[in-house]
Amino acid sequence: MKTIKAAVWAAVLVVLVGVAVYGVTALAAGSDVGLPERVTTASRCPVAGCTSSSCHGAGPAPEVAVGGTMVCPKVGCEAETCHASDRLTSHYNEPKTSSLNLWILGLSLFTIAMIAISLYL
Amino acid sequence: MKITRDLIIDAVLLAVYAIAANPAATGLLIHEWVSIGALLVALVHTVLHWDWTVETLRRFLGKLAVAPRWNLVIDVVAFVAFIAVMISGFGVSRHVLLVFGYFAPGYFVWKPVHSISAVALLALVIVHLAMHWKWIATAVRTRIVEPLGARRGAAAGAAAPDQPCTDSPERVS
Repeated sequence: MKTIKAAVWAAVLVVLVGVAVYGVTALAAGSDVGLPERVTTASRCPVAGCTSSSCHGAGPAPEVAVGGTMVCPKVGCEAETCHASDRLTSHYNEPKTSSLNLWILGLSLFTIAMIAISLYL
Repeated sequence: MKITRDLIIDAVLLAVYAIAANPAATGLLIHEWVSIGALLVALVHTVLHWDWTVETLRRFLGKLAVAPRWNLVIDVVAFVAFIAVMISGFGVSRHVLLVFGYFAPGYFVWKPVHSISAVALLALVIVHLAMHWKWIATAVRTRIVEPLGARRGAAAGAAAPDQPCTDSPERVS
């Protein structure tokens, strides 16, 4: 009973903090942020926000075709030579901080291993 | 028994977190699903220490030693960072949401939130581990190292021959 009560409280806290995080981000970002939407044929492209019928879906954004436009994810303009296209083609869905994580985790594991060895010997 | 249970849950949580924290090594598909698993194990970890959390929170403004006070602060900030990582993770999700036929708008807003909160969480996890290092070392020694050593000693004793050692000092003399 005690454990169930604690689990319910923990779940309530998760929801409350989650709503707070979402609320603060949505307030700061404005209309760019929204609740998850159902993917339909009329959906905005999740990558570039365009409504082209040849939407590239969740994959890396293709090069913009000559004469074509794409909503810039940074400032919302529709210039042919989007200055943030590198973010679409190279940074979209690419983990960027992994090398830092690997370094920190690697050092931590090394330290833990050294202490474990010293404990065991 | 409680220490063994906590040690197992903590080890599983650390292992799952280490996998989830390295999306470049695992790929985004594994990263997203394992992260949800990490949230569930982290919730179990939280529930198992709920009594300590409530008691420390109750005494937070009164008389309380420095260590539990800092432990609680680190734990609360880590909890918030974890939820921020998860919420922003859904914002940049490429696989989990798509399985249910959804996508989240605002990728370029959630992406930096996800990166910053993930790095903050990693730092807090390391601090959390360091602050509980004595407990971890004691638990590992008493629940894994010593029982293994005792078992190995018993196995070696059982494997030893029954004949007396001929080069013992008593025999030589």
